[in-house]
Amino acid sequence: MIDSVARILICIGAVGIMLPHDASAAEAGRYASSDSDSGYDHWIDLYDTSNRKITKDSTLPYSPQNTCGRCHDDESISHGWHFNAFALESQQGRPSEPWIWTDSRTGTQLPMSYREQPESRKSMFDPREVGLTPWQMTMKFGARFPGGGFGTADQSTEKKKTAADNETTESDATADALSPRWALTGSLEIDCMACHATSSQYDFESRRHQIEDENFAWAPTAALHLATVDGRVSRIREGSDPEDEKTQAAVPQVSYDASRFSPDGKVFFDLVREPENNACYQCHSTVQVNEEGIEPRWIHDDDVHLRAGMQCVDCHRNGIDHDIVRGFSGQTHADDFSIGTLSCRGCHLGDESSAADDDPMSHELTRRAGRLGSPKPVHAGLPPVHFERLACTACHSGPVPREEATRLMTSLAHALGAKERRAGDEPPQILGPVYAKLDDGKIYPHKVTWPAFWGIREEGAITPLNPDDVYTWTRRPLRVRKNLKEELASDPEKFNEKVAEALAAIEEETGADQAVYVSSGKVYARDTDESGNESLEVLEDDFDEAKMVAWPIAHNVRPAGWSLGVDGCVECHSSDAPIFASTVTPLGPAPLQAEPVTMASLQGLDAFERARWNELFAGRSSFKVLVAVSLAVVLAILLIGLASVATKLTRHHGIEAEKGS
Amino acid sequence: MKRVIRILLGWALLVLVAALLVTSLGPHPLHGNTLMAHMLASGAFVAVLPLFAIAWLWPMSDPAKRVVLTRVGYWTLLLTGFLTTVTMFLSMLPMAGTETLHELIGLHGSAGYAMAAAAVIFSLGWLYAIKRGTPRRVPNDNA
Repeated sequence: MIDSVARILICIGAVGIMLPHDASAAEAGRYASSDSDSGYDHWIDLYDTSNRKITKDSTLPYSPQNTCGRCHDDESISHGWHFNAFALESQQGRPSEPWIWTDSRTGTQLPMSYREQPESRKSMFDPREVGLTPWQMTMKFGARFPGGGFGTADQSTEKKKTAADNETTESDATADALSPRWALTGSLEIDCMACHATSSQYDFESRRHQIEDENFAWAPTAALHLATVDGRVSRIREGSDPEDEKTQAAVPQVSYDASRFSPDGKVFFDLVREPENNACYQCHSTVQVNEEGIEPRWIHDDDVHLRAGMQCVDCHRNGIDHDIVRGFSGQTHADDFSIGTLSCRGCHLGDESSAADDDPMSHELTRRAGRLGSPKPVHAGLPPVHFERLACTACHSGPVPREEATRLMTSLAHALGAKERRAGDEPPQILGPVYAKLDDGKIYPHKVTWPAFWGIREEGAITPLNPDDVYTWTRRPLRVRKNLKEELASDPEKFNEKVAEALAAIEEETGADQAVYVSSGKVYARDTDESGNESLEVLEDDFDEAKMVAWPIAHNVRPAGWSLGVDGCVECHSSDAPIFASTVTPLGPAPLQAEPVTMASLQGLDAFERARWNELFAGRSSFKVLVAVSLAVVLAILLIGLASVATKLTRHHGIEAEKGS
Repeated sequence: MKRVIRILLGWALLVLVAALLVTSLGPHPLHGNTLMAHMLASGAFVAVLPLFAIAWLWPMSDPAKRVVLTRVGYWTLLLTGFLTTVTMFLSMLPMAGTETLHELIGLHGSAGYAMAAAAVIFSLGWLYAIKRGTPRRVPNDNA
């Protein structure tokens, strides 16, 4: 009897263990694949947003999800890194560049992320806390977001995060929260071709224009120039009924290019399995800015790996789940494959950490250094303690450090790649390299920014307000046409007066006790003296919400000869070494001359202790001579002693020999 | 005068070895104030070691004048002191790679602990000689 029960339990257990595997196997079996090193020629049928096959006479835009999803597991893909930037509960991993909501009119640069942030990172905000809807986020950042997640109407359930209890709940007012614009704009689906099209096949500029025009669903079609798209959803008034004939007439019209269709109605998609660098650059470019503007491209070099002929995806790999290897030490992969040798350290020095036994990449041989022919650095004479204190990137990556962190512009924050005129001082103000520590205690080069926003101060904490609401409330008191910094910051008195009035207006609108404006790490609030005169004051308290937001720099990797420390210890262990002594000055729209901060203080180093170490290293060359002399003397005496012993032994043997004879 | 210098150098060396031993204990790699103290003590050590070696050479080379324990301690101290210093010196030169540096650090530690043991032997011999009061006289074999 007991035996029978045990057997049944074992069977139940076995079925339970096998079920997930069977399910995933079945899932994988749904999709055919070429399994060849050669690329698969994509002569394919296109499907529109209503999932109907597209002909040259079709009028609806092509849908990547309905087209590509027929043969590829779009459900798995949709959870991948990049696409989950607009999704809840995605793992942050190492801090990455935030979405920075910039509004020059109100002097706003608000760093945000949907990803879970560590408790200590209070100056990064959740868009839901700020009252920004997924549609607004898609509208603002869609041009730099490959689609999916909250960028699609069906996944955008508009979950609302209540600041009070910090819990995620379905909005009580779904009808209000779910933007009616989705019905007009359509979804910004994951656009596979944004990354997988061969260079020149995909027109990012056209995609950007479509998103600016609120033509979300039309963007993939326009980007591939499959059809002409006439019309702008942005011209359809708020509150228009999508079913209304007038509204329908104003919806963009699609005319497919008949020449793109083969006689059997298929369309050739010129694509690659592994995206080309050019696709990555659309969102991952950085330029340096000096006082004269953007520094010319020709004075800067590419990443040394790219110069060696590598591609971004050689290290930043992914499977069908699109869980892209980010390349930092300690990253875990959704597939449980060891990715240790795809980090700087793992590839160049080897990855000793063991992985699962059934992981083919956990074999001893594949954990060795030298993957893809990477050279193993000698680091001659560099005390190993440096590897405990510094990340590889501290010496090898990022812009060459100068006396002061320079301004940087990035694709995500400054729309690099788009055809625009840039002076170099456009917000948000991002600076780098800034040498600060991450949670592992190591020093990394970072890009940094200081949040600037209007908010409410309650119980010691500052909550940012929706930038669009702020603009509405402060338009009259601020009287800024285009740019708060340009129009007010040059005249501090005017700035103080206008900002105080704007804060008063916000307090009136919101009923809050105290409205504040945050900029350059400082918090401004209204102050009323005994006579009733209002002025603007900088609050003395230290607010976490106003603090610097930093994210590590990984590229460009400089060649070994351009690494810090190549010229010897004193390149870093001296009073003017950039890794410790260079400074960064908080920047923001407010006319505040903030004090520069040294890298050493950001790293929590004691100035006196650092000075002592520097003095120690200043005398290192002389010390080497002293040691050499000391060793020579001791060696000479040891030899004297040895000679003395040898002499005595010889004499002793001589006497013995005499006695014997 | 020579005797005073010898005693002072002997004491200085023993104190420095003790300081180096104490600062090398605890979590590795050394860092912060511990590493600073270790490096400062090592700087003094490399200066004192050759002076000590010279000052004590003559008495130590004469078996009649010193107890065996002191002589063994002296020569072992010099040998291990040399090894400890040379492993540190090689680490400071831009020659050894990371793996070699790890080996040198290991050797440096081992030689350092051996030097501490040698210092104990030397101290015991010295203490024994002080306690006995006068140097041991042995009949000269050649006389």
